[in-house]
Parts: sequence; C-alpha cells; structure tokens
Amino acid sequence: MKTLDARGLTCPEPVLLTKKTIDGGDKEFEVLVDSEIPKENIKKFCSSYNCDVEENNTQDGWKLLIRQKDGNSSCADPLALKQSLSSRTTFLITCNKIGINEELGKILMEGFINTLPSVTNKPDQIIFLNEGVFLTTENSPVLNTLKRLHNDGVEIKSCGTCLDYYQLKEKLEVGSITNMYDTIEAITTGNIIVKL
Amino acid sequence: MSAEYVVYFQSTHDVIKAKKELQQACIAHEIIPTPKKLSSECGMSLKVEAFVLERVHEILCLKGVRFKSDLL
Repeated sequence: MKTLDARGLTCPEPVLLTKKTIDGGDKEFEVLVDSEIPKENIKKFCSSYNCDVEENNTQDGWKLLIRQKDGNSSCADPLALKQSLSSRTTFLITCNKIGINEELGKILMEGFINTLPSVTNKPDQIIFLNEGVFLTTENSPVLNTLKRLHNDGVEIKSCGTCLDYYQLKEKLEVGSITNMYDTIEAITTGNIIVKL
Repeated sequence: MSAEYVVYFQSTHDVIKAKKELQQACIAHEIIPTPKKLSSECGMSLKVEAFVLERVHEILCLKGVRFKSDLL
C-alpha cells in the first residue's frame, strides 16, 4: 500500500497531495501527518470526495488510512461535488471591520454579524481570513452570535494560516479550521460569494 | 434568561461613545441593528440585559450620551 509522507508540509499541500493520489486511481493508501490542521483538512476533504478515513495515532502524529468507498468506480466526481455545492452562499470575511475607518468599521461589522441570525436567507458558510479570524477567537465581540449561527447549521471556518500568524490557533472559539483549498473550492464551485 | 433591552441613539457617534463607556465599565452588550419599530436616526443600537440597564443609564447620563431604551 502506498504511504504519503505529508509530515512537515504546510497547508494546503497535504490535501493537494491526497487529492492527486485519489485522482491518480489509488483506492487505498496511507497519509502521515504531524499536525492537527492538515489532519482535519484531509478528513474534511475525503468526506466530500466520497472516501472513508481511518485515523490512527503514531509516535509523531497520525496515520490516516484512506479508502475509496465501495460501489463507486471513480472516487472523484468533480461535477457531483460542484452540483452539491452550487446553491451555497459563502461570505468571505477578510477583516474585523467593514471599510477603512477603524472605529466605525468595527461597529458595522458587529452590527452585520449580529443581524445575520434574524435574516431569512442565512449564508451556508462564513470563511474568516486574515484579521477576520479575530472574530472567531477569544475576546471577539460576536462570539455568541457566531455560536448561534453555527448551531443553526451555518458553517463557520477560520483560515489556519491566519490563526497561526496571529497566534490564535489555541484561542479558536467557534467553528473549524480551514485552508486555501476549501476557500478556493467555495469560490470556484458556483457559489454565491460575498466578500467583506 | 433575563429580559433584554435595546438602547438606541440619535447618532452613530453616540453609539460609538456608549460602546466605549460600557466596555470600560465591563458591561456586557451587543451591537445590533435598531429594531424597525423604533424611530431612530441611527441604524445601530446596543442590546443589554435587564439587570445592567440601570447601570447603563447611570453611565450614559453621566457621560452625556443621548439615548433612549426600550424592551426588546
């Protein structure tokens, strides 16, 4: 069985390596990872790519056994994936304020997020990038609202690179960690994207 | 859960000032859009819980912030 060594690789490389291997026709293989973020991203990717993942601890991380699900000769069906996501609305929040003015911008962002639970058409997912991750982590003024949205089924995702840069990885309070692969997929699969 | 009140203002500057004062006093609050039923010139308001309302009134009056409040 093939073993991919993704230890030490930064996101989104481990996911891309996994995707390439599945696309190359491997039905069963292992991926070695040494960090929580690539492990979770690979698992998320596999669930959307019709593969099972079995997780085992190793001395320096995890070994993920990836198996293509039975009854599906082509594991990767980009069209099905695209169709399953096509009516989704994604908000990309790249800052913790709306517009340039810091003082007003922060009030507007809080107001914007705190209004979301009361609207009929909520976004399907909200991806927080760059300073946006200050909204999903400790001391964010909108944590309660984001938790409510998360409980209502809105996916809340924070960029792992950004959390790492601002040293907020341990302070994430809501949703999950994501990578550029997920973000680009959200943009390129026919979703409605709103960038703030 | 205690009742919630909306504290609303005549201007955005008043909202910003009120928020700063409440932050300094460590009073929990949330920025929310002003409910449509209230006539206000400012689209943003503060939501606070009933048990801090009196304290909010004291602080905002002391600091000269113009506001009104209503049950949410």
